[in-house]
Formats: sequence, C-alpha cells, structure tokens
Amino acid sequence: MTPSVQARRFMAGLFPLAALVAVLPLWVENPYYLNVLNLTALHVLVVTGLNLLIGFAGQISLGHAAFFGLGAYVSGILSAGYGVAPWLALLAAVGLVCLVALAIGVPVLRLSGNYLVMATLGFNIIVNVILVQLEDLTGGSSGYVGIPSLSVAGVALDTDLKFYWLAWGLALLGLVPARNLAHSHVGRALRALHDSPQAARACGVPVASYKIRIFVLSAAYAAVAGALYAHYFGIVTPKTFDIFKSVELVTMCLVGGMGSLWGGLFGAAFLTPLPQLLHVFQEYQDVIFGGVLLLLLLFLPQGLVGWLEETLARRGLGGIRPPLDAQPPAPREDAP
Amino acid sequence: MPSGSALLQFALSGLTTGAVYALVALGYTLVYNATRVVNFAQGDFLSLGGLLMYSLLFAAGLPLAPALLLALAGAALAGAGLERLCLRPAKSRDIMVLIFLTVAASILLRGGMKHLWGKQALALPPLSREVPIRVLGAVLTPQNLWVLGITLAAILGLVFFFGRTTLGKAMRAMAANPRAAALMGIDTRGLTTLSFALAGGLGALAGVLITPLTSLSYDVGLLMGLKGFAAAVLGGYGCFAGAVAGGLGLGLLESMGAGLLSSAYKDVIAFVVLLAVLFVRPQGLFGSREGQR
Amino acid sequence: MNTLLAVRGLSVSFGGVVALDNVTFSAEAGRITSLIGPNGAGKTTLINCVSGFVRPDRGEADFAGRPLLDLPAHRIIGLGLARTFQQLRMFSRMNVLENVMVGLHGRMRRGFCAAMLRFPVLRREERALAERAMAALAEVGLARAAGKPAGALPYGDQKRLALARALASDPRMVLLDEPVAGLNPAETRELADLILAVRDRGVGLVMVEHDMSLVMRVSDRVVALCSGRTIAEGSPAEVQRHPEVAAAYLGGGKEFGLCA
Repeated sequence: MTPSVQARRFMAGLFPLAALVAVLPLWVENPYYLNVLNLTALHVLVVTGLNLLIGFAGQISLGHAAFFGLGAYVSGILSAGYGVAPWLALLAAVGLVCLVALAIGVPVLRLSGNYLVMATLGFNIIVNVILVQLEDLTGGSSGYVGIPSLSVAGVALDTDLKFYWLAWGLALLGLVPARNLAHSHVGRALRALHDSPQAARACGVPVASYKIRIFVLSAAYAAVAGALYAHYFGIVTPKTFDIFKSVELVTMCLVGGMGSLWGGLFGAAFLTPLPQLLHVFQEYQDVIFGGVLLLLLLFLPQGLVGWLEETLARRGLGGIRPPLDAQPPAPREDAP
Repeated sequence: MPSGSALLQFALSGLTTGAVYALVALGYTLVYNATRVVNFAQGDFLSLGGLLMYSLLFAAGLPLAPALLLALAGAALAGAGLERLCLRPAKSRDIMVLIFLTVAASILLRGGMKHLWGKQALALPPLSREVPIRVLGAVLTPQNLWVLGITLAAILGLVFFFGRTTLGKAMRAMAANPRAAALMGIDTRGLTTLSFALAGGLGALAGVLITPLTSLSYDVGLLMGLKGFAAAVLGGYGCFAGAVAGGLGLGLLESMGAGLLSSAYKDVIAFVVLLAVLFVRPQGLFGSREGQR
Repeated sequence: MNTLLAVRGLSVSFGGVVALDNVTFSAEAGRITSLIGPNGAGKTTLINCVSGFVRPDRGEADFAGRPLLDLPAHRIIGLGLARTFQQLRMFSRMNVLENVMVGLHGRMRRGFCAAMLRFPVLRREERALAERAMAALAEVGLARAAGKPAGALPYGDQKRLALARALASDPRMVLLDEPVAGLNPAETRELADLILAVRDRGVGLVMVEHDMSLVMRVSDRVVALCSGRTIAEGSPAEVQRHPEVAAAYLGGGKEFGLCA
C-alpha cells in the first residue's frame, strides 16, 4: 500500500468522524453529556501523543498525567494569577512542559524501557505532592480556581457547547501530524527502534535523539490538552492528575490498540464515559471497571481497534493501520 | 542540629518503616525474578493483609497467631489467584500487557476490598500491649520491635528457603534461565504461581506489621506499595539483598529527611530518591548493569 | 593495496576479562577479509568496536581515512560502512520491504517537523527509497517477498534480508557477523554465491565466520584471532597451515582454545 493510498484511507476515516463531531451537538444538548464529550476530546489529544510514544517507539510512560497537570496548572496560574492572556499562557505552559520532559527524558531514555515506567511514575508522584504542598501558589489540595476561559476571535468559550468546537477541532487536528509522523520514515524508524534499537542504530537511526523527541512531543500534546482543560473547567485540582490518571491514559491506548491512532481515539471514547456510567453502580464501580479492563487485556490484547482490523482482514477488507502486524510482538531485545 | 536522641528516634522509626519497605520490595523482587513483570498489585496485598487480620481478630474472634497465619494465607491465595486468573490466561505475553494486567487486577482487588470493608479507616491493634520503651533518650514501642524482629525472621526464612530447600533452588534456577529450568523438569508455571503467593504473603505481613502504627483502610497499601517499589529500585531491582538494603535505606532516608529537612514533603523523598537512582546509577546499590545501552 | 578499514592497536576489556589485546588488522576495498577464531576470541567485539557499539580502551580505527572510534553507532553507516548482526535483529513488526527501507534511513535528510507537516519533497524521497529498497531485495533474491511480515520468513531468507538491509544504502564495505550460522549446506552455498557477487561489484566485506569451508572458499584474506590477539594473517591457505591456528582450533599439545 503506497503512502498516498494510506493517507487517503486515513482522511477517509477522518472526514466521517469530523462530520459526526459536527453533527452530534444537534442531539446532545444536556450539558452533562457535552461535558463528557469535551473531556473525551481532551483525552484524545493526550492519547494521540501518548500512543506515538507507546505504540510506535515502544516506550511506556506512567507519568503523562503529570504533563497534563503541569500544562493545566502553569497555564491556569499564569492567566489567573499573573494576568497573562490565556492563549499566551497556554503556549508558555507547553514550552515549560517540553523543557521538563527534556530534563527527565535525556537521562532516563538511554536506559531500557522498564526504567522509563519507573521514572515517569516517580515523576508523577513528585509533581502531585509538589502541587499539593505549594499551597500558596497552587491552592493546594482544594485546587486552583478562577481560571479564565479561552477566547477565539473575541468570543469567549465559556459554555460547554462553545468549548466543544475548540476541543474537538484541536483533537481531530492533532491526529493529522501524528498520523503523518507515523506513516513517514520517522515513524518507520521509531517502529524499528522499538523492535531492535541496535539494528536501528546500524541502519543510521539516531535512536537516543528520536526517543527523546517523541517523548517531548507526547508531553507537548498532553500539555496542550491540560491547558485547554484548565481554561474550560476553570478549576484544577491535584487529584485529577495523579498516577491513576496516568494509568487511565495508558489503558486507553492499550484498550484501543497500541500503535493505532484510531485505537487511541476509540480507547479514549470508550474509557472516558465509562467511570461516569459506572457511577450508577456506586459500590461496584471499581470492580466493574477493573473487571472490564482485565477481560479486555486478557482476551483482546491487540485492543478493540486491533481486533476490529483483524476481523475485517479475515473477511478480506483492508486494514487501517500502518503496515503489518500479523505476528505477535517479538520478545523484547532487552529481555534477558 | 537535632540532639543525638532525636537522631536516634528518627533512625529507629526509619528502620521500622524501612523494614516494611523491605518486605514489600522483596515481594516485587520475587515476582520480577519469576516473570520479569512489575506487579502493580503488590501494595494492595499490604492492605489486604491488614484488613483480613482485622476481620479475623474481630469478626471471627480468633486469637492472634492463627489470625496472623490465616491473614497471610489469605493474601497468598490472592497472589496465587492473581497469577492464575489474571496473568496466565493472557493471550499476549508482551511484558507491558502483563504489567497492565496487574494494574487491572489491582483495581479489581481494591474495588473488592472497598466493597467488603468500606472506605472508613479502621484500627488494627498492635501485636502486643503498647508500653513505651526508653532507649538512650528515644522512645520505642513494642510494635517497632515486632516489626524489626518479624521482618528479620521473614528474611532469614527466605534465605533458608532459597538457599537450602529444593523448591527455593528451583525458583532461583527458574529466575536465572526459565527455559533451561523447564527443560530440567522444573514446573515453571507452578513456581510462578508460588512466587506470586509468596509475594502476597510478604505484602500481607508488611500490612499487618505497619498498619497498627499508621491506620488501616482499603487503599493504605497504595503509597506504601509505590515506596516499596522505589526501595527495590534503590537497592537494585530484582535483587534480593538489594530489596532489603533498599528498603532499610529508604526508610532511613525518608525519616532523616522528614525530621531534618521538611516533614511536609516526606512523601516526595522516596520518589526523588527513585529518580536520583535512575539518573545516576540505574542498577541501584546491588543490581547488575543489564538493560542499559 | 586499497585499504579501506584500518585498525591499529585496539584493546578492550570488560570487567577483568580482556576481549581484545592490541589488535591490528586491515581490510581492503573490494576484497573479502575473514575473521576466524575460537569462541571468545574477540571477533564480534572487534566488529562491535569498529561499528560504534563498544568503546575500546585503547587504539585507533579508521574507514576511508575517517576516524571511526569517536563516532556514535548511528553515524557509522553514513561513512559507507554497514553491518549485520549475529542474532539477525530483524524488525519483526514490519514487512520485508520496510526492513530494508530502514536501512536507507540515513538517506532521508528531513526529520520530525517535515514528517509531521508532510512536506511534498518527502513523498518523492520515500518513493525513491522504496525503489532502492526493492533493488536491494532483488539483489538478494527476495523481491517477491517484499510485502510479507519479516518475522514470517524462513530463517535462511531472514539472513538474506539482513544482508539486503545492509546493502541498501550502497555501502563501500559490509561487516558480516556469522552470515551463514544456522544455515544448511545448500543455503550456505547460495549465500556464499551472493557474497561473492556482492564482492565482485566492488563492495568490501569483512566476514566473521566459523564455517571453515566457506571461509576457505570465498576469502581473499584471513585474519585469525585467539583470546583477543591476532595470531595469523594472510591468504586462506597460509593461515590454514599456520601452526598456532591449528593449535588454537584443534589443541595439538596445548590446551584447547588457549594460545601461546
């Protein structure tokens, strides 16, 4: 399949989705549901970046909620506390998060994948504790309030519906560069370095540099989503950005299908409303959530989209994701 | 500069929590050696141990020793169940999927504990009457001594198990080279389940020992589990001696740091240590250099 | 004498174990130089030093006059020096064509930003890359397998794929680490013919091998290592007759595998 055919296939998927997104508000008026949809859009944004890191480069981060949270807090504090214009605050937040990601990524990414999980987990916890402890700056565990909305062309995005357009617009837009990267020679190099970093080096792939760049890129996606979150909800609390959030985000990638951008989207769309739906079950909420997750991971490790693709392929219909994954993953090179 | 007795106080309390971290870290080590998986449910075994002990003492009215043994057995069963039901049936053997299966199991386990025992904090009584003991100006309670003593006994027991018994040696063989071990007729699947069971028991022991000193609830083990993880990394992830050294070391660092620097940031210390170790010496104190490029 | 790869006084130890001890050797353009020696002699370590995967403690190495030892591994192929691995190291998630295209990664001048924004020039470059990769596959006889998952190929074909991946960027020299290990005699013969054909079109080859008949058949020069030191160097016949080489491999009064 040539790249241009693949590109057309992707756009073929993107347009109906965009159409659906455009039309959905006609039916959905309940602000509660719009709220969930908006949160889903933000999750899609984070998961797109995270999926590039996990699915393509094969590096696992359990700290992306920290990048999400830092994006939210920095943008929120700059705009509400220091009067910086919200869009500028967003840019500043993204810039800062990229620097932080660089600072962590450089020392840790030279190690094997397991260490990145540990480091990002530790980082997330540290960020959380600091957010709680620096009460004067961040408002502590009760949160930081009074964050202004973003405005577009003079219109303040202060309702669920108005924000919906921005959130989904950016979420869908964010898919495009991610997809372009995935299907390019860089995407190929990332998959290569996932399978065999040594062979990738021998082929001229600058493994260390690429790992760091994709890590920073994924952090940038999370930071954008975080800043949007802050300017939408108007309030941010540390609890929203704890390690459970990180786990949730990675789970969205896994459930949808690693390395599949559509998978990430479906994962976010599936798992964001799920806790809200399960709220009905009160006591059994966690048990059901854990159980669903368990069953999915046990029996559909290729994720929902992966399963869908395999089923379609078996019936002779084409796949949607970048080339072949007919084999189960080879044992990791760093596995002893 | 704090007084000598204050320092001693910090050291003693540090060693106490350190011993508990060591037990948790040993649990991680056992599972990692058997399967290369990081068991994210390890902290939940701690909560489970405490909660089971509580029910066995109060709901079932059992005396101390049987309650303790049954609590450990119950958690060991949970560990074995985790491996048997949540890991072994997995279609994919990708390490990341397996790790996230333990995450899912952890959520399930915690949800179950929350459902059965509720969200409120419970009080688990210490193992013996709390009579303060004065040592060179520092104050100990018998529970401190129990923690240190029982942890020491557990470590010695594990040393004996792995060094002298056939089963233990078989597990070491499996850790060194699973395929060769299987070819030698070692039941690697059974031993994997056993590793998880032992990890469950160790976690539960940690829970029973520490929760009288802190508090007990369905999620008390979470943070302890993560700190135990940091302790394992400090000592050298996957290394037995490292787990013990890392546990005690982290406990001391935490206690000294909280006492001398800032108690507000106490919880951060463990993770700053974690990051520092990973940045500077990822193999920890005693680990080998595998996994580095 | 057209020396392309020159190694002087290379020494490496790991922990307390000496892997290479003051090794000096050279390989010419358009010739096949074989490295032989018992297991643990340091052959793969030598390859790893020259290809940037191991930092030696002492010594120098250059390729076409350019110093090698201060370069990171991913820069080596840019000089025109490619390599294969003893353990294959296929990109098993990709198909055959993509595996070879990774070998051409250095040819793409643009990076992340251009890729994300899908600059039009990339499309042209990708097409050129795919054509070049197909040519490399055709050279090793794998053109019809281009779309298959790399992991699904039979072992012999995977060995050829490794070679194609190394040849894709048109290197001046290729380091082959045990190219026929695990192949049956028929496959070995085919790969030997392929290696000779590659040599005949001007590519230099440094081959680490245990298969003596292959070494004798294709080599222009042979270097024998033992316990990290060169013990013999010359034409295949000369090295074969060398007493120390016989001793290293066969014993001959001295302990098996140990050298003077």
